[in-house]
Amino acid sequence: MSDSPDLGIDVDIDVGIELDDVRDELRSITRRVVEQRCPTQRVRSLANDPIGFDEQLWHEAAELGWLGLEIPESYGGAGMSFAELAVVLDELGRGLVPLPVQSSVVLGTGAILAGGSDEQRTQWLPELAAGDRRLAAAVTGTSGRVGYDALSITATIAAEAVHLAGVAGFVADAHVADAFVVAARVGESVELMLVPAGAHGVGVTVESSHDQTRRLATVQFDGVEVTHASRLSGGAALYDWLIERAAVALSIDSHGGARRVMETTVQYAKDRIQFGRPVGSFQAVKHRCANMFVNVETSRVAADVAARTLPVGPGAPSRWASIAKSHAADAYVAVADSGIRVHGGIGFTWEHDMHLYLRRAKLNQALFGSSLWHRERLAEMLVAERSGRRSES
Amino acid sequence: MIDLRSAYRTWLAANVPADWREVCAGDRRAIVALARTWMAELNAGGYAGRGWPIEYGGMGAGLADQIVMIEEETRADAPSIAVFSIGLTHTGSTLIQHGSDEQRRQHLPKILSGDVLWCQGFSEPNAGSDLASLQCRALRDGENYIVNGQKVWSSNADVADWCLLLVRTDPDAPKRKGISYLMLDLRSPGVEVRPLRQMTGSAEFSEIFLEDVVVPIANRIGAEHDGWRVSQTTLQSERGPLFLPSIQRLRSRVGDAIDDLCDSGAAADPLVRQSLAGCYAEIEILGELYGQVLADQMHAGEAGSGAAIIKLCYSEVLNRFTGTVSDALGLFGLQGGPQSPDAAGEMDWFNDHLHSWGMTIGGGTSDIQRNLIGEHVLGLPRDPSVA
Repeated sequence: MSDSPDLGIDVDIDVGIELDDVRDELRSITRRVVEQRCPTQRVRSLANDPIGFDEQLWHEAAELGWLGLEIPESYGGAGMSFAELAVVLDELGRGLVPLPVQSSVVLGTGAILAGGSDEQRTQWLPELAAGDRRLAAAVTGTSGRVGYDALSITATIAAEAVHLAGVAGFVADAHVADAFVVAARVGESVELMLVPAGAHGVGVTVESSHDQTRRLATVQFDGVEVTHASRLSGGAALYDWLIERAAVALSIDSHGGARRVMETTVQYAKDRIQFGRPVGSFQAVKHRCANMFVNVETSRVAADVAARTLPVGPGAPSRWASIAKSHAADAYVAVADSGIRVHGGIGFTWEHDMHLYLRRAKLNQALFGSSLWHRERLAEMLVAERSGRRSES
Repeated sequence: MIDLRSAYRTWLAANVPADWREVCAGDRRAIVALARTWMAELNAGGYAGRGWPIEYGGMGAGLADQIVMIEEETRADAPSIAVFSIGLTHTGSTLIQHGSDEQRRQHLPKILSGDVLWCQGFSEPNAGSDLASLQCRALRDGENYIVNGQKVWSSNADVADWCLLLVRTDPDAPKRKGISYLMLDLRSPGVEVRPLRQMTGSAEFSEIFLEDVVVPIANRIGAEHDGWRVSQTTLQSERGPLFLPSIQRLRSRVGDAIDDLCDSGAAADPLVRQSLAGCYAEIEILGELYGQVLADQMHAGEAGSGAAIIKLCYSEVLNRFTGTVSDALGLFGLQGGPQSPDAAGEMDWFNDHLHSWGMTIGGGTSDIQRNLIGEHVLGLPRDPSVA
């Protein structure tokens, strides 16, 4: 081979073999643990639990290293990257596992890794990796929409302290968080800080949700006062990057769930006999399955590229975050739709898992930027790129 | 080791005719004439027959090197040799795998030199998706076959010299067991080629009528009645990065679409912007997916099951993308008119949109690709009523 191609075609076959082995092993362990410890019967019973997840599984997750994959070894983590976390997220999505990973690991730990002071890192990272403390992210406004203008919390920065007032909506896992990563408006910009859940003036109200695998809450900040040492550095750039991380994580979760739905449905299409033959031998059903495959494979590729190319900290905006989120969340809904239809009556029952996947797919679609929001973001990037091209020439 | 990329880049810079786009300007015959001379130039430079073994005059290049060459051609805006693709891929790999030494000696050099342009006589009016039901009949007569029948959807048959022909030699055998694979000199008496005007207005395809056409038995590839197996094994063998030029072209057209939609004011509409961004996302994902399919192909040494999803996604996103842009331009998008029969290539968004339906049909329709995915990738059972 004389040279490697460079136009978007990844043909390098030598790099990353060792990492691939690590990820394969991580995947098989994660899948085994999820299948043994959190089958969907368990997911269903946790829906009625006030906490909503299995505390013991949370601590096992910590022991298995899932919570500290990106945390440097010096802080008790595994010193790996988002690509390894992506493997765990994919498997948790596959099993609809209700653990506060998106909130505490993707957003909370991510915010401290990218914007925390040495003191904050020392204070938080070892305990986050160990699963002894949890973070939640209050980074969306009352509507749950993303963007600085959608934020409903204002920060007033005074000489002695920072004062917060307002509300964050649709905050995942707020009821089990030890502290919040709060995004607040400061004038036209945004500032992020860590606020202890026990701080005076913080109030959490868990809201009902059609997807019972995730708990969302409204978090009130009523005259809350925090020290300057609580502030995270990075401002708007950190905020944008956290939103991208959340979007990529949801695209991975969507792929994991969609693949499981496809596998279950294809198996059903092979087993279910009507008119004296497997229903999967009928083209109408076969084509639904083929379209599911296309949706799942394109989601895999999009989520994979987005995870691999996500910057390790605030930087250039990631197009792939928006490509992957909009594509994979929509694909998940489409796959769940086909899954229900191919299953027919059994797929419409409460006992069958199909509706659990559809519910999670719909929540994934709505969280951290709708598909339209992400496409609008992409369109703005494309138009800006054109303006750049024009002004160069 | 020679650095292929820089060597080829230098060679292209010195040899790509600067004015070829103006010379061709949407005229199909001019495009074919240019492709013939460009093929000869490539051959003289040692850059023809990339995937072919060196002993047959090829470069013996692996997939990665073939990708590098396509990338350099894109960068240099080199003329297309797409009209030679039947010769380079089908005829070439079929003769290399199944041909006799004499057949290889006679035909392979003339493909590389651009002297002989090949077309394909596979589809028939009553044998489209069900290709194996073909009825074009070949009867033994001494050292010859006498061929009678009709072929259709032969790209460039009106300008081609030779044709790969699937014929029925045993009408009593099961349909896949009675087919033979022949090479037909299109100048043989009894051959009539009629251009077929397609819905865009252009005539890229032809019908071929065969009446008592004499084909020497020496022009049969493989054993008699074994033509179906010969054609299928050829289709499954590594055929190079076939979709790469098309997918690269599609990616670059997103920029053209943004230009046109901004210039027309249509981009001010959020629905237009978001639809286009959706197409852009799918096109970028397709590019990455194709990269992975090619990487898998490199490891395995043959085109695997990835071909079906690429064909399906490419043609469907092309259809959606061209339609999105054409629709967004509103009535302006419908200005213009059908292509002339002599025209070829891209024209305007609406024409390109019409053209995209051809991609959803040729080479196995999108629904056939879904069958292939369902049966070969997902392992779903075949329809028991289909022979």
